[in-house]
Amino acid sequence: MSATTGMSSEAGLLSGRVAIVTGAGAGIGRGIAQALAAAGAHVAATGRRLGPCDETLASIEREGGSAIALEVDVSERAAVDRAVEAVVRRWGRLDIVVQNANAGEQSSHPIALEDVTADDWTRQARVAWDGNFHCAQAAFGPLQASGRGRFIVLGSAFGLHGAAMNPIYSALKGGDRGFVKSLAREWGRHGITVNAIEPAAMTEPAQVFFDQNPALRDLFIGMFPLGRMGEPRNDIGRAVVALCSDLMGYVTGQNLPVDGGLYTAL
Amino acid sequence: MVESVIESPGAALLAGRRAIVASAGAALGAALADGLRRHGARVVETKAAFGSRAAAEAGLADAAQELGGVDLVVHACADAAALVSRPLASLAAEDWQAAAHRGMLDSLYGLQAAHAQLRERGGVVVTVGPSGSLVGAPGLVALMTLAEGQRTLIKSAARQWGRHGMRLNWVGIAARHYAPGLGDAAWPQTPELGPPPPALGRVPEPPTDVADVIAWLGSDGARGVTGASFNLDGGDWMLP
Repeated sequence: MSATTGMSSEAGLLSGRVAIVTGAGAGIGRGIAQALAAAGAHVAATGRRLGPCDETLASIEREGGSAIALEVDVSERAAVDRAVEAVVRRWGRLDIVVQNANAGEQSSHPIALEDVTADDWTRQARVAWDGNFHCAQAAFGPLQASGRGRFIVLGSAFGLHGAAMNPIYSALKGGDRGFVKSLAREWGRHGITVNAIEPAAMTEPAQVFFDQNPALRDLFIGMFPLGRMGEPRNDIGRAVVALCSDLMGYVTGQNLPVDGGLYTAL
Repeated sequence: MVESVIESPGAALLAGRRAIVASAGAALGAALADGLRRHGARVVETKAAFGSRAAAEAGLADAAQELGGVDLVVHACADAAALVSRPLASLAAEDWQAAAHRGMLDSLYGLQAAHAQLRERGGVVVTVGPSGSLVGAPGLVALMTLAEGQRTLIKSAARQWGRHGMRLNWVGIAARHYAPGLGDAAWPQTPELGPPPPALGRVPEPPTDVADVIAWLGSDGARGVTGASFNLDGGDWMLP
């Protein structure tokens, strides 16, 4: 049986939980939103542009899941506040926040460090770091009330080993590690777990890049002990489901590579 | 013989070398500068929070001119806003901005200015941070975000600039040496139930223990070392 068909093993794991996923209009964010919904959660699929989030919503509804789509730019605190309020108004609670938003193409654009400008930094950092800050502040009350709150940041292996191609993105993702470890220590007494996942998944931009550079694809795939790149929903999304479920309620402050064994240096 | 080694470990590691110590904390900068001088380096101290790339490049250029060139740049910077312990839920937006963004931009400017000085002949950059960033600390989410961002930026810079003969490494030191007020923060304790850590019975001191490691990193003895993180906590968390 294919991993993408049939009754999913996570069905019901998150029944009644309410989740916000940022950057849910494509790729890994969409896969996470779909996986959370398949596990029984009500999901707010949010993104800077509503159209792609509507598509995520439609895909969830086609499978009988419960979701809404919201236009949210996480770099704006007021927008995040409005989203949290809308979700709590709709479903009466908030249990899970998955902060996956990043600055899209800018984050994968190679740049020499000596050429980086303050604007280059700020454009990406406003989404990644301010997004973490805004989501955490806005969701703190409802996550505390949940009794089993989950705050998950999507990190990157680039934040572990650095990246010559993406020095800004990797610094932001490295910063996420400090954010998660510290906030986990701060929020543990409130019953909220805080973790990061460092995924490796074949997203559409990655697919395009590798289609243009097939030799690099073969080289890269060869680095994975499991022999393949992850799939957003079934590999990354279901790992997030596990982390959000009661099965992993005792795990906090961790940076967990979900990458087919690519990074084994922790 | 042994005593002389202990009194002056690795003496003259930096004989003939020129070092710039750019530190936001006057006490830390002075201590590291003294330590590097003990190893034979000529040292100029400068501020670390430049505020702009142009100011950073001018600051390091002035220091390099005074020295007749530069071989080693030591950089330690965090905005004052990052050094105040406070729950994230009640952290003001402007403090987050100052702590995370301003601190990171100063780090970026410092690296770019160092690159401008070292790209022709190569050289060494050491970024100093709080070793606690490796495990996180409640009340200091912004500083820990900044510090881990800086540590990762060093790795990427090491990857990009290795071809210029530049080596870049990170050294983590005790919080109270990084910034005096941080010693009172709620630093997590090592889950060690034996003799209380650190294993050495003391926290490494900037003018001696820390400066010795930085001197070694700046010397030819460390010519194969770049992109690395050195946790100088005296044997506390023992990371990695």
